[in-house]
Amino acid sequence: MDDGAKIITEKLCFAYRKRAVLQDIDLALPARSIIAVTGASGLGKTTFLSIFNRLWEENGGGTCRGRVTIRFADGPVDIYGKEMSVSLLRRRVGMVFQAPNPLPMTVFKNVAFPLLLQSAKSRDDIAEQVETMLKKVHLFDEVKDRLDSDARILSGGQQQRLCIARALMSDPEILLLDEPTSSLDNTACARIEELLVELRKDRTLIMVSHYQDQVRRVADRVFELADRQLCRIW
Amino acid sequence: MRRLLEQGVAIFSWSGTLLLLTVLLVLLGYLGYRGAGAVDTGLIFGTIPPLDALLLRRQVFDGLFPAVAGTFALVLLAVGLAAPVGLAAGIYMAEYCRGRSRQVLGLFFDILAGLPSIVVGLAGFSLTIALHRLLPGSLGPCLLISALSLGFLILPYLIRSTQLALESLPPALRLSAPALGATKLQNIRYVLLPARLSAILGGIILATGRAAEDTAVIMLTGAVASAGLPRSLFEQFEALPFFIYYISSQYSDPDELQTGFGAAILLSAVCAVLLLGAFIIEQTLSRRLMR
Repeated sequence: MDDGAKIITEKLCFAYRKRAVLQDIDLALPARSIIAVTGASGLGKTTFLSIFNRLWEENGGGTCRGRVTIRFADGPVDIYGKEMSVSLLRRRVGMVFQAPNPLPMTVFKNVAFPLLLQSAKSRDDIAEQVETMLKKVHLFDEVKDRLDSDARILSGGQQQRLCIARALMSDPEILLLDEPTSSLDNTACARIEELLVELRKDRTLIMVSHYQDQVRRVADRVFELADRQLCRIW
Repeated sequence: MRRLLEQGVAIFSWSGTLLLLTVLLVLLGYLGYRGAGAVDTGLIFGTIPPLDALLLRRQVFDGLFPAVAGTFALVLLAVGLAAPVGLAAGIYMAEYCRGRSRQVLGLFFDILAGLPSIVVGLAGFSLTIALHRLLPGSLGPCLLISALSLGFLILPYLIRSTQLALESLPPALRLSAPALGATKLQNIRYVLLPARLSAILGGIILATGRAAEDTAVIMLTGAVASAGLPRSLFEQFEALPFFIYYISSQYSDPDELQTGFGAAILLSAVCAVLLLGAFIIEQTLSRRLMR
């Protein structure tokens, strides 16, 4: 086991309806870095991401074997162990999807949603945290007068930054990004990339991307998924 | 050739819509032409002053007020009884039921939706007889049995519309709350239902219309020609669809038939009020959920 690694996979295999997607993958992914995963479409890059927050379990039909250990701040955890709470895991391993997916509620409630689920904080605390998080993703100035508006009226780039703010709200140590800029224009894409580089300072990011230029600009380590294996490119 | 085919399909679709619209307008126009002359306060309240009737100071014997009130009570009760069950079953079908049981239950609900209303009415009638034998003298054909039978009739529409509304959500939205740590129940409560609220309420609106127009079920389970205002769930009642059926099959002069057309206009107005009510509820709920 790599002592400096944040995520360790041992003999990780994944099959979807008896079709092998990943085969015997041993990895040690470093903390506070951006790890990019590239590869042709349909080979299982999104599935690979969803292994770390167990989101694949929502769709059914999959089988995961092997061991995945995440070294959280309070100690290492086998995320497929019997004691692991899936809800808790997903609060500690956030995810941003390919297309922005704001919830059918206001801008404020979208960002506050992870805290509202836990209902452990006062409204003032939540409001303060929402403002902090929106500032962190450089969105506050653009939406401060529209916090009570439907989040779905924001532009694509704004929606994606909103989704990143929402994913960061529960302070995850790991952030999974599934082609986060694929539906955005160049300007919005550049803003998201700047944000990812900022986020790398205190968390681990695993990003699926088809854009080689983007990978070169932001990633610290790059893997290619091919033939059910992850090969390190650099 | 392909372009010609596309144009043909577009013209066919447009013609179908136009035909439907024309039939609807002709139907409403004919209804207005035959019945508008009969629609006045006398048709609803008879010789009783409207305020006295509305405040229940005096009973209406020669107007349709009891039938209008009976129709409202019947439809609201039927939808009120069926909607929670239909929503729950629809949520179960869309979110929890998997594999073979999903196929079997889906087939069962489709068969239920295709059941003729007279068969449901007959089942309600049999239930009434069974209850009457079980509790002699205390329970017979009544508003509650009618509402239960009507509720059963509209149940498959509610189930299927809720199920389809939830299943049509994009996968990315379906996964967004679980990815943030939400449980399945939290996902349904905070995301899936609010996102498809208008489609689900659309199903309830359609079911309301179906409940308001049905005659076969109520004529076998509790509706009568003359019962006065419905005073309890366990009494017989009057309803507009039954009155229209009764008058159109028994009329003895053209004036009576015109009263039947007037009642049809009233029934359309009752449906419009119910649909407007459902629309207002949808708007209010949407705003509340958005806050």
